Formats: sequence, structure tokens, C-alpha cells
Amino acid sequence: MTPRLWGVPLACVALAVVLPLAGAAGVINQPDIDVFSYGVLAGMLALSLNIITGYAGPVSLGQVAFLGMGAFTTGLVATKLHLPLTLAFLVAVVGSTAVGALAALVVGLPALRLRGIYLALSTFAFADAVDHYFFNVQQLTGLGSGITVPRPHLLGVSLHEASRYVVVPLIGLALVWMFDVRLRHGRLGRALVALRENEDVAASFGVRVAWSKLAAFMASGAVAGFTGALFAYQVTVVNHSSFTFDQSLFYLIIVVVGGLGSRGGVLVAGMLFTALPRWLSFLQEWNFIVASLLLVVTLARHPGGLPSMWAEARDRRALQKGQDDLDAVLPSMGRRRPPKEDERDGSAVGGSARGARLQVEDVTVRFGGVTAVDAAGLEVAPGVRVGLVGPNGAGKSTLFNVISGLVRPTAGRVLLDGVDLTNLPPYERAARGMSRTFQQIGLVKDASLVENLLLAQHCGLPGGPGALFGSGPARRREKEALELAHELLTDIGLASYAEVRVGSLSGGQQRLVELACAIAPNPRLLLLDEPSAGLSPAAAEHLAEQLAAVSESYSTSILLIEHHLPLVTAVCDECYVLDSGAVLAHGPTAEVLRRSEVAAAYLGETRP
Amino acid sequence: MGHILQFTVLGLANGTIYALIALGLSLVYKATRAINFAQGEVGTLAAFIAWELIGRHHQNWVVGALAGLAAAAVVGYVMHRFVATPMREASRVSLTIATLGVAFTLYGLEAKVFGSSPEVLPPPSLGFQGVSVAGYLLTPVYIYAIAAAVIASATLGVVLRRTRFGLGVLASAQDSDTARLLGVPAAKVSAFTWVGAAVLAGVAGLLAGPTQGVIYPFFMSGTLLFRGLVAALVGGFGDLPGAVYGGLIVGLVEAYSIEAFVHYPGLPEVILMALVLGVLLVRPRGILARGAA
Repeated sequence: MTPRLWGVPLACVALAVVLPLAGAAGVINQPDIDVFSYGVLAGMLALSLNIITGYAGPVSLGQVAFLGMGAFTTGLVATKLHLPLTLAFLVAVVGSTAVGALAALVVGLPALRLRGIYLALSTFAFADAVDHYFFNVQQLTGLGSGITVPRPHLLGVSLHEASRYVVVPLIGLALVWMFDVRLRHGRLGRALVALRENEDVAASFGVRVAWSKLAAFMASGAVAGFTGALFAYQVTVVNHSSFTFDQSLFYLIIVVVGGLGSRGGVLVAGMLFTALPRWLSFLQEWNFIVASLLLVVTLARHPGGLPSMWAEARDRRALQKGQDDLDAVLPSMGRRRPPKEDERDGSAVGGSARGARLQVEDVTVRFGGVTAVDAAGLEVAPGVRVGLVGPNGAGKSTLFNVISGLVRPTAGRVLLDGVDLTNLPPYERAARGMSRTFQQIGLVKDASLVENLLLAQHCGLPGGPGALFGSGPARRREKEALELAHELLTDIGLASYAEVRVGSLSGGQQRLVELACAIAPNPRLLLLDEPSAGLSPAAAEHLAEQLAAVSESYSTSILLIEHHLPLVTAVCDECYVLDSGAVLAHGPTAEVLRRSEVAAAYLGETRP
Repeated sequence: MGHILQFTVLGLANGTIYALIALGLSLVYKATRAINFAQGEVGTLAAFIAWELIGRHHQNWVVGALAGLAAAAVVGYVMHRFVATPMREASRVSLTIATLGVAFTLYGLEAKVFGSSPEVLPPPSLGFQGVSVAGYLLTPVYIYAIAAAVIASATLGVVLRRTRFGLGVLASAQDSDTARLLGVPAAKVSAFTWVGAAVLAGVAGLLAGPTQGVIYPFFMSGTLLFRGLVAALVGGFGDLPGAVYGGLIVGLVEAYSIEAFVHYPGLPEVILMALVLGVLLVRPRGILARGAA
């Protein structure tokens, strides 16, 4: 974490010392320093776009409009408020940042209802309206003549010369970089990466999907508005022709070429595609063509861009290296003592680590004309391990989705400790101590093992600005969560793969990580959807041991869907049999599995 | 009253051009679930090719128009073959971004070959001055636009609903894997989609050039593409009849808001933005769609 946080800011500070001296000594021309400043600002804008499109996923086509709104806010502050130059500068920076964040909030509103691609339309609409209307209001933007923004003095030093002003964008970049690192590697950033990949998985980990997207929009708009303020002082005459719509599209291309989600790549691409054509004029008319061809070729050949190729290579090395350590430990998830109630504040996981009572009452789910679940009812008593078996298509997974909140039932209720959860979204249920796994493995494949385990503790970690700017309590909780993540990884024997992306692991290893994620928040109800699906017999047996160990040492209630009957027998006290959406049988596991109608349902014989 | 009628006629006439752009967008969306941001720039390219022949080399309008459409079709085929096909497994967001790359490649090439200064693409001639409707003179280019929108939507409707191949296209749009297993030729369906959309873009470009007054690189990728997108959204993305009435609605909204806010140039864009946000928040599947999202 440390080098990632400090490398670029330190370089910025070094350049902020060197460039003014070099400029004063005449070693570097002022125009060259000017071009460099533009490059730095472009890099900052590219980083802001990366927050929405790279981390969270929605395509933003209006980034330059946010930049322009920031720049014109600065213009208004500089010309209308008649403040001393230095004070005006500070007010302008704060004001532009706020305006950018607010504008982005409005544009992001459809995120509350919609997924993915439609958000491109609202950002397009915004960019178009801002470009053709707001930027053409004489009083706001001065139209063709623009608004003159005089550069300030800071601490008694005039920033008029390019070689002095360059310090401002450099410090700006350092701040934006540190903000970006904190954002991405904190609670919000993990949530964004998760929801970009799979919103259902993210929600089951307790992520408020829509609000997280809105937060991403606001963070991105704030950085763009901030950049706009520094840009206004850079150009000194703010003119609406700097913020045309095609620029917004071009930035999107730059960010994809740099590698979506890759901070360094995006920064470099933003700087290069802005600064190089200004230095080398023959590049100017080729700039668009080169960048966009690069984009198309990159996407068609390798959708993740260059950084993802590096990440894959790094994973391969780590996997080879880790192979030796792997067999040395005999992993067991039962070894870890789950925390006692008073060891944790407990508020995050619903107050108590004891198992919860789950009641499912007459739940019916219809998809169009198909009845997937038909008035099914079941109960899991506190601390009891209950199996749910039945043939394919019996409605087991649908019932699971009703319990965890991904599917709204047509009729019926779901209660946890007597509280009706039927209308609560998945993240609310996660916050109440419900934890689940998925048949298709509910992990964020593109994030590392450690990140997944931290994400699993999402509900237990404080959010908001405190977390983003690293307040004391927030840091402490984050540190504890990290320790727990490493402990759990040690328990499943994958400690040496902590930084490897989940997608590089084998199916069996991914199952273990998923199980570790499911117990990381210390759940009161654990929902396991066919944990042995897709595993080899040996891996399934290993998993069964782990599961038995978990259920021995944790007092959580468990509901387990499984086809692999030995696993059910080993783990479950009670068992429900579901057939054609209805409960066929219920009782102690061994007894139920012996009954003839159960065998009939499985083997498809005609029922007596 | 007559005033309002005039704006209604103008709005509907412009709306047919938006409908043509929206038809192409919806066709691609139906097949790939991606938004084709190159739809505008393919139209610009067709307009420039036509201008090169008609305006610079004094060829017949029809010759220039056919050359423009042929160029659009080639770009459409290239997008199918070298973008959409390799990206079959990619996410629709990636494919959407790739179409942006195509738009910018075309933009850069147009600026290099034809220059950045505005040019005038002459309108098609019908041999008469146009038709007067409700006191508003519909110039021949609008009559062509209306005819093109009717022919294009009718042709698409017949091909998709009445031919074996068209049903295959619809089946692929529903579930491409199953359709392929059932013997629908996936490559041909994809080629049809992209070439069809590109030709629609070309038609829109040939008509929008004269109605906009001048053509220049990117002229169709800003406000015009935006109107096409709003039209497709209003009608419900992927809904072809919806694209047509969506285009007409956007044309009307635009014409009325120009009339209402004559002293605030650019304000119609804000109204359209409000329309987009409203549709996205309230009826994201299109304003006439059955059931909300």
C-alpha cells in the first residue's frame, strides 16, 4: 500500500521543486513547461473518468462538461466576487470541486434505477445540454471572448510564469492521486469493483449498489471540477471552446487505452495524448486516429488492455511460487476460534454471533406462467444446520434467492428472528447477519483474495468520508479486517496467494475462498448454494471436511443446498426435500434421505 | 394556431431523420445489447463521400448518394468483421466503447482527407420546390426523408418478420447461442445487422447534410446522434417501431421548445436532457412499453 500511495506524489513534489528552478535558470523553456502542465491536468481528468468508468463501470461521456463547469465556476469566482487573488483562488478551488460533485450527482441519478449502459445516455444528455446551453450563456461564460482568470500569488510568490504555476497542477495531481488510492483500496472502491463485475454478488456482500454508484459519480465529478479550477488558472482565459463534447469522448478513449481501472496507465495515457501532440505538431492530425485505432485493436484483441495482461502474468508467477508452500500446511478452517461476542463491537453483524432463526412462510415465486416455488415453507432454528435437497429445477436456488433478497416472492414471507425481511434489499439482509454463497461462485474474480475477504466484511466496516480520508477509528477497523482476512487465508491454506486475483485460482480453491468470505462477517445465518458443484470428488471431500469444521466451531445457523448427499449427511442435522417447487419431506437428515418418495423424486420414478 | 401547426410539420419532418438514426441504433442494440456510437459518424462519412462527388466533381446527385451509401456499407461490414466478431464474448460496455473508437477513427480520417472547414452538400432535387403543408414549405429533402423513413422501416419490418433469415435475426437477438445451435448463420446475422445499421446511418447522413446547412467532420456525432439516441430511448431501445415514433416525438419536442424558448438558444438541449432523465427514471423501457423495468 505504501509505495502505491507515495510514489507519484513524491515525484510530483520533486518536479514541483525542480521545474521552477530549471525554468528560472532557463534550462527548460516556459512553453515546454506549459505543455507539461496541460499534460498533468489531462492526467487528472483521465483519473476522474477512471473512477466512474474504470472502477464502477458506467460509461461517462460528459467528463469534459464537469471540467468546464469547474472552470467556469472558477471564472465566476475570479471575476464576480472581487476577492483578493489568493482568497479567490482558494474559494474557486473549493467551489469548483463542489459544483463538479453536484453536477455528477444529478447525472448519476438514473443509477438509482438502471444498470450499466443506460447511464451513458444520461451523461451524453448532460454533456450535450451543458455544451449547447450553459456554456453559451453570456453572463456565465463570456461566450467567444471567454472569462479572464488572473493567476494568484501564493505565500507572497507570484504564479504568473508557467514555470511557477506548474507547481499548482503538480500538487493537485499529488492530492488527486492520494485520494484515488484511498478511494480504490478502501471500502467504497472494493464495492465499486465488485458491482462492476456482478451486482448480485456485491449486494449479497452488503453493498448498497445504487448509492455506491452515485458516490462514484460524485467523487469523479469532484475530481473533475477540482481539475477544472486548476485548468482555469492554467489557461487564464476560460473559453467554452475548450470543453466541447468530442473532448469528452476522446478522454474515454484515452482511459480505455490506458487500461480501465489502472491508475498508472490512465495517468500516463492522459498525459501523453495531451502533451505529445503539442510538442510534436505532426502528431496533431494523427492523434485521434492513432488513439482510436489503438482502442479498437486493444479491445478486439484484449478487452482488459495492457495492465490486465501484466496482472495475469504476475498471477502466474505468484501461483507457481505459492505451489511449494501450498502442500506444507494442512489447512483447516476449524482451527480459528471465532471471536467471542464481547471481542467485537458486534453492531455490524447484527448484535450477536449466535445463530439466527430463519422462517420461510408459504413462499411462491412465479416467472411469467412458470411456478418455480409453490407455497414452500421451512424453518431453520438457531444454530441448527439444515439441508435442502431436491432434483434439478426443484426451485432450490430460487428459494435461496428469495431468502437472500435477490428475488421478490409473488407471495409469502421471509423472517429472520421474527422480523419480516420480505421487502428488504439484499444489502439490508447482509447487514442483519445473513451471508451466502452462489452456485456459480459468488466472488469478484477480478479482485485479489484479500480484497474479496475485505469486501465480505463490508457491512462491518465504517463508510462515508471518515473512511475515505482515513480517520483513526476507520483505519483501526480496516486493519482488524485485514488481519482477519489474512488469518482466514492461512486457515484455508491460501495465504501465499493473498494478492493473486481470484479468477486465476482453480475451482476448488475458489470454493474455499468463497466459504472463507461467507464466514468472514461472522454471520448468524449462512446460506450455502451447492458448494460442491463443479468440484472433483477429492476437492468435494476436502470441502466437506472444511464445512464440518466450520459448523463445529461456529454457532451460526446453516441452510445448505447440495446434491452431493454424503456432504449433506456429514453436515446437516435436519433436511428438507423440495420437488417441483413444493416441500416434499422434512425431518432428521438420515431418516428423510431413506424415505422412498425422496428416492423417487431424485430418480424420476412415478410416485406411489 | 397556424404557427403551432407549422412547427408541428417541421418537427415531424426533422423527426423522420432522427427516426432513421434511431432505427440503426435500435437494430444494433437489438442484436448486441450495445450502443453503436459510430452511427452518427458513419452518416458523416457518407455525406462527405457524396459531397466529394456531387459538390467537387459535379456528378449526378444519385451517383454521389449511392457512393456514399456504398462507403457506409463497407464501414458497416468492417465493424462486423473486425470489431463485433472478435468481441463476441466481450461485455456490451466494451463493445460500446469500441464503437466510439470507430467513430473517432472516422472523425480523424475525415478531418485529414476532407479538411475541417464546413462544406455544403446540395439537397436532392425533385424538379419542384416542395410541398406546402399547413403554411410550411416542405423542401424536397424532407420529402425524401419521409419516404426514406417509411421505406426503411417497412423493409426492415418485412425482412425481419416475413423472411426466414429475418426470423433468424430476431431469434439471435433473443438468444444467440440457442439460435446458432438451431442453425441460424451467426456471421450472416451479424453482418446484416452492422451493414444494415450503417446504410441507415448513410441515408440519415445524406438527408441531414442538406437540412443542417453544412457538413463538417463529426457533424452527425453531436446533437444529431444525441437526438437519435433520445429517439431510440423514448421508443425503447431495440424496439424498431418505437425508434420511428421516438424520432417523431423528439422532433416535436425539439420544434416546440425552439418555438417556446426562441430567445434562449440551446435551451432545447436542456429540455431533451430532462426528457432523457425522465424516461430513464420513470419508463426506461420506452414510454409506450408494457410494464416498467
